[in-house]
Amino acid sequence: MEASIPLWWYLLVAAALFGTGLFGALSRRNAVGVLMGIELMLNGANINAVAFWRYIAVPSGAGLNGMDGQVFAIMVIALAAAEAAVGLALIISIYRNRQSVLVEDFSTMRG
Amino acid sequence: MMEMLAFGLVAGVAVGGAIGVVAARNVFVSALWLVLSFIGVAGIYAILGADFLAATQVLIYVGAISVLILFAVMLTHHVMGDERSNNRQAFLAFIVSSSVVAALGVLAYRTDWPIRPADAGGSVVTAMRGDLAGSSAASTAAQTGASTALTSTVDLALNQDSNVVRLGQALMTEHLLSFEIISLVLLVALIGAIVIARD
Repeated sequence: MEASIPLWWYLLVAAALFGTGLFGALSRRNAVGVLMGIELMLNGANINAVAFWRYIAVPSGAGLNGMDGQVFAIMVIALAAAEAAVGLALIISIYRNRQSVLVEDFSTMRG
Repeated sequence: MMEMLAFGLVAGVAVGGAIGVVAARNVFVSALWLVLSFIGVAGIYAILGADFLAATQVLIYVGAISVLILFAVMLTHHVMGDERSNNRQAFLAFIVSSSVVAALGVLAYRTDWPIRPADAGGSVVTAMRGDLAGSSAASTAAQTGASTALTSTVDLALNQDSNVVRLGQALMTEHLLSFEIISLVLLVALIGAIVIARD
């Protein structure tokens, strides 16, 4: 049962999610779409963390219970929630001022 | 074999949902595809044996973040019409991201990962199952009463390394500082979001 799926399958799925999110974040005109791409990238990174937690040997010293991968994933999920809240608040605030959600309209700070 | 089939299913849901996110023209449809992708990722966590994370993924991503995104889409309603949903650098972005995927895939396949041997406490679930089977076999062999067996099973369930117990211990001991910092970050983000979105 254990290790019937090779580790690199998980890593490949994570890379596919990351790459798809990267494409979305780079190519979307809608700012909410960019945010969705970032969420996909964070999910890909999370899959990597959990897969490594499951498959790779951890040096278990005294008092360490080897849950680093899952703790890392929880931190990333919490950060993603914070990032989504702040990012969407920013988008709504900008939309109120400029009546647009397209990222090319957010260029007031361009030099 | 069954496991591989399940993995293929959830991986297909996750990656297919992600492709739907970037391929859909309407951003609302994108958000719905995003929900599907999050559910697929939760399935991958479940296959990996991280049951608490799978539940967390469903609660926070599918339950909270998706609703947040859908609210933002509806509040900033923007009639897209025939406008392009991608910007001019979409082709360049496609080249860059597909080469990133190719490089990561080759790296993941060719690297000789130090895989943990299965018997060295590999799977929490299988270890727990083994202990349960062993304890019940021992109790039946010793002809102990049903109450003793029940007590030992309950003890086992509480003391054994279930994912949640180990995770809680890790968060309160080794990772206490990062736990506190992430709580502070969440509080600051909450206040910041309210302040930014209110005026």
